[in-house]
Amino acid sequence: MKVKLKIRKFEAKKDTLPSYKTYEVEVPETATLLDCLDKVKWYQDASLTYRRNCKNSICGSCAMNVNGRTILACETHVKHELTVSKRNELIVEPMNNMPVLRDLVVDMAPFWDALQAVEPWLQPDESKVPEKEYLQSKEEVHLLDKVAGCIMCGACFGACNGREAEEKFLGPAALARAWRYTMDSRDARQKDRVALYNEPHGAWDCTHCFFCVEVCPVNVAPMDQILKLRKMAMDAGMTNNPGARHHVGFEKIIEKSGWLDEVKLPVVSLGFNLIGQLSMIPLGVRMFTKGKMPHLIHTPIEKIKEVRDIYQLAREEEKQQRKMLAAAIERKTREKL
Amino acid sequence: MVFILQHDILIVGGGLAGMRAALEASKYADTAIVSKTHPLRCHSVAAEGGIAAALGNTVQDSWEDHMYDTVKGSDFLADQDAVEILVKEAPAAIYEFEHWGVLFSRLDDGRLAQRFFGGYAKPRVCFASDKTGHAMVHELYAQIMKRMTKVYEEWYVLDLIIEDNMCKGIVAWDIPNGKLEVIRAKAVLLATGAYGRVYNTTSNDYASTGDGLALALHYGLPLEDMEFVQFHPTGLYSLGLLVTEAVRGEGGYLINGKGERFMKKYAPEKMELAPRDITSRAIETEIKQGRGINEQPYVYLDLRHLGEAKIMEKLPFVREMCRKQMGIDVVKQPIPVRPTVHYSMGGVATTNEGEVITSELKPFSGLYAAGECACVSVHGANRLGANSLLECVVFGKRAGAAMGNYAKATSFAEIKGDWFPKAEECMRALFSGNGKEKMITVRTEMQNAMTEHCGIFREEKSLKTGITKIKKLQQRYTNIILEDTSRTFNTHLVEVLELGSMLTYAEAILVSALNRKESRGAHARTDYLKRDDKNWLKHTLVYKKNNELAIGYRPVVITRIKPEERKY
Repeated sequence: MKVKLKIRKFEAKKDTLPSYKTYEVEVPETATLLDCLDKVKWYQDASLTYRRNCKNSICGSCAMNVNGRTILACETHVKHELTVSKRNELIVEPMNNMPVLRDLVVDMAPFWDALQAVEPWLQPDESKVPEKEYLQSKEEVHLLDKVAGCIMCGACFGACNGREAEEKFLGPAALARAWRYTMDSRDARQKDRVALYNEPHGAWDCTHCFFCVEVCPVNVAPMDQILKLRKMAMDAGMTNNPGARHHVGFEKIIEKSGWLDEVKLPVVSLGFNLIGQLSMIPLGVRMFTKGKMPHLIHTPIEKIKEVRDIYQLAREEEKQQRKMLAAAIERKTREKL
Repeated sequence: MVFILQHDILIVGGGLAGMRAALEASKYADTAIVSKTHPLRCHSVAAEGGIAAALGNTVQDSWEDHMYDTVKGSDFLADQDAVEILVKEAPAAIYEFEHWGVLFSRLDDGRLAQRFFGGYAKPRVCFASDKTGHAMVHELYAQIMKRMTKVYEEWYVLDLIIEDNMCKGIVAWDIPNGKLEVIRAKAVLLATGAYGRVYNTTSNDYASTGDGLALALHYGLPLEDMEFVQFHPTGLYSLGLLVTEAVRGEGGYLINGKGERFMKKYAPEKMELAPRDITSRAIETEIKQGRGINEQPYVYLDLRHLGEAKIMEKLPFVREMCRKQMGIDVVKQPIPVRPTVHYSMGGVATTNEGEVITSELKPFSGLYAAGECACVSVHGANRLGANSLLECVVFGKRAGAAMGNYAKATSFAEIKGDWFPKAEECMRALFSGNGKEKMITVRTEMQNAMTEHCGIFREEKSLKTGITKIKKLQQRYTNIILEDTSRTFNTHLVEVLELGSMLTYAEAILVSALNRKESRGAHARTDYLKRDDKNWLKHTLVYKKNNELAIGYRPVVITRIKPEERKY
C-alpha cells in the first residue's frame, strides 16, 4: 500500500521555524510507522531524523506524535491509523513539552531531570538487608509490576496538560515511578517519599486530564498512581497545601450545598495566604465585567439530603474496606509467624 | 594537548554489562559511561525470559549442576574456570539485584520463583514475568542515577587511543551536537553488546552493530570464537523479533505443518527444551524438508493449552507483542516462528577479569571487555538461555573491580599522537567527500551475504563466496557517500559509521567459520558433520596482521567435566 507522511522538519541550530515535508512510501499492509520512517530515511531523505531501537515497544526510544496523538512508532500500524483517523495522510510530529533538537528528536533532559528528582531507586533499611532475597508476596509484585513496567518513553510527559501549564511539574512518568517505590515493601522511606511528592510541583500539579493514561503504550496509568500518592499524603495528614485544601474544600462544599460554590472554592484552596487571596481580586473583577461572576449567595439544592446520603454511604464503604484490609494484613502476618 | 575531558575509567556501552561495571568501578575511581543510546534504550531491556542461578528455591540445586548444564550446553568449548566463576557468583548477583528492587516473580511463600529453560536439568531461571531484562536494567540504572555517575548519552565512540601498547582513552562523536571529543582515561571497557544487525533477520535492536569488536580488531587484538552465532529458535516470523524461550519453559509446543511435535525426532528427552542450537537446526530442517506450516518457511509455537491465566501471569509481554506486531492472540492462535540471529558467543578475547588479551594471550594494558561483546568464554559453542544476563552482571562487576584496582595503581599516561586533528580530518573527509556508494545498498548486500553464506548451516564453498562478497563490500565502503551533512543529531552518520564497524568484523565471522572444520554447538558444517575433539577442542582467535586476518588458537580450560557425547 502507498502511505503518505507529512512530517515536521526542524533543525534547532539552523531553522527559525519548522516546516512540513510530505513523503510517499510503498509498504506492506502490515507496516508500522517506524517501517515507513525507515523507508523514507534509507531510500528518500537521509536527513529525516528520529530515534528508534528495539522495534518491540520495550526500549522507549520512538515516542512521537501522529495526528496529534503521542504513540510509539514501532507499534503503530499505519493501515489502522489511516482507517481510524479517516485521513489520507499521517501527520508526524515530535512530542510536546520538550525542546526539539531535530525533526522528531526532542531533548529529553527535562524528563530525566524530573525522574531524578523523585529519587527513583529503592531505599531499604540498610540494617535489615536479608542474606538472601526479601520475601514479597505475589500480590505485591502484581500490584507494582505494571507501573514498574514503564519504559520511560516520555509519551505521557509529552502529552501532559499539567506540564504544559507548569514547567516545574514533575510529570506523570516520574510520579508513577515514585508511587512504585513508595509502595514497595522493601523500601523504608515511605513517609519521606510521600512528603517529598507532596511538595510544590509534585502530585498536586496534575490536572486529571487523563492524557497520560490514554497515551501510555504499556498501561502504566500514571494519573491513577498520582491520585494514589495524593490520597497517601492526605491520609498522613499532609493537608496544608493548595492541592489538598482544594480537595477537602470541594468535598465539604458539595456535602453542604450539593453543588459547587465557585466563589468559595478558590478562597478555601489558597488558605491563609493574604497575597494569594488578593491576587484573586483582578480575576473577580474581570469575571464580573464579562458577566461570568457566580452568585455570591450560595444556597443548597433541593435534594441535598440525597447528596449527604451518598456521602454517608461512601464513608461507610471506605471504613469497611479499611477494616477488611487490616484483617487481611493481620491474617498474613499471623500466617507468617 | 589539553584534555578538557578526563576520567579514570571509561565504560563504552550503557547496557547491563557496562552499567554493572561502571557501578563497581565508581567505588574505586572516577568513572563515566559513554553510550551511543541512552542507557535505558540499550538492548538488555529486550531480554525477556530470565537469569539463571542455582538458588534451589523449588528443587534441590547446586552450582555444580548449573556448571554441568552450561558446559554441556556449550558443546564442551566453554572455559570451565570461567563457568565456575559464573555459576558460583550467580546467586549473590541475583540477590544483589533483588535488593536493588527488581520485581522478580515469586513463589507462594514469597521467595523467588524459578522456571525451566532449554538445556537445564532443573528449574533454575529467575524471572520478572517475561520482562526480566527491562526490570534489571531499570533498577541498575536507578543505582547509576543514585550515584550520579556521569553518562555521555548519545556519544558514538570512533576510536580508541592506543599508544605504547596501552589504551589511553577514546575519541568520540557527540551525536546531538555534532562535535568531536577526546576523553583521556586510565582504563577503558568495551561493553558494546551484540552484532545481530550484520544479518538481515535478527532479534537484536538497531544499535546492535558490534562497534567494540571493530575497534579491537582494528588494533590487532584478537576476537575469539566468532564462528559461533546463536540463532534463537523462535523468532516471530517474518519480523525476527524474539519470542522468549520462557514460552517453551512454561510448556509451549513446537508444531510442524503435519501437526507433529517434531522435536521428538531431534531431542526425544528434552523435546522443546533442547538447547537453542539443536532446536534451531530442527526447525530449519523441518522447513527445508517441506514440513513448514503450509510448506511456508515457518513452524508454529503453540501455547494455547497453557490457558489464559498462566499466559497472563508468566508471559504477558509475549501476548502483547504478538497482538501488537501480528494481530495474533496467543491464547487462541499459535505463533508462526522461524530461527532468528540472536546472540554472539564470540567476542573480544578476555581473561576472567575482563582484561583484553593479545594474540600472544597476554593482557593488554588499560583495555577491558565485558558482556556480549566479550568472549570469556562461558558459553563456548552454544549459550544456554538465561546465562547471558548472568554473564553481564557477573563479569561486568568483575571487570569493573579489576579496572578500579588498575586505575588506582596507575597514573594517566601522556598522549603523544595527534588524535584529535587526525579524527577531525577523517570526519572532514567524510562530510565533504563525494563518494558514490549509498549506505543502504552496501548494508543490505552485506546483510544478505552474511545470511546466505553464514547461516545455521555452513559449507566451505559458500563461506568462501561470502568472504569474497564482504571483501568487495569493504572496498565499496571506502567510496561511501554521506547523504546527510548536518552536524545536529546526524543519525545517518551513525548508520554509516556502524556499517564500517560491521564490515570490519563480518569478515572475521566468515573466516573463523571457514577455518573450523567440524560441527560443534551453533557452528554446523554440512561438509564436516561431526564434532572433532581431537583437532578442534580449542578456541579460534582471529586478528589483523599486516592488514590481513590471521588465525590463532587458545586452549580450552577443562577442570571438572570431561567432554562427552551431547544428547538431549
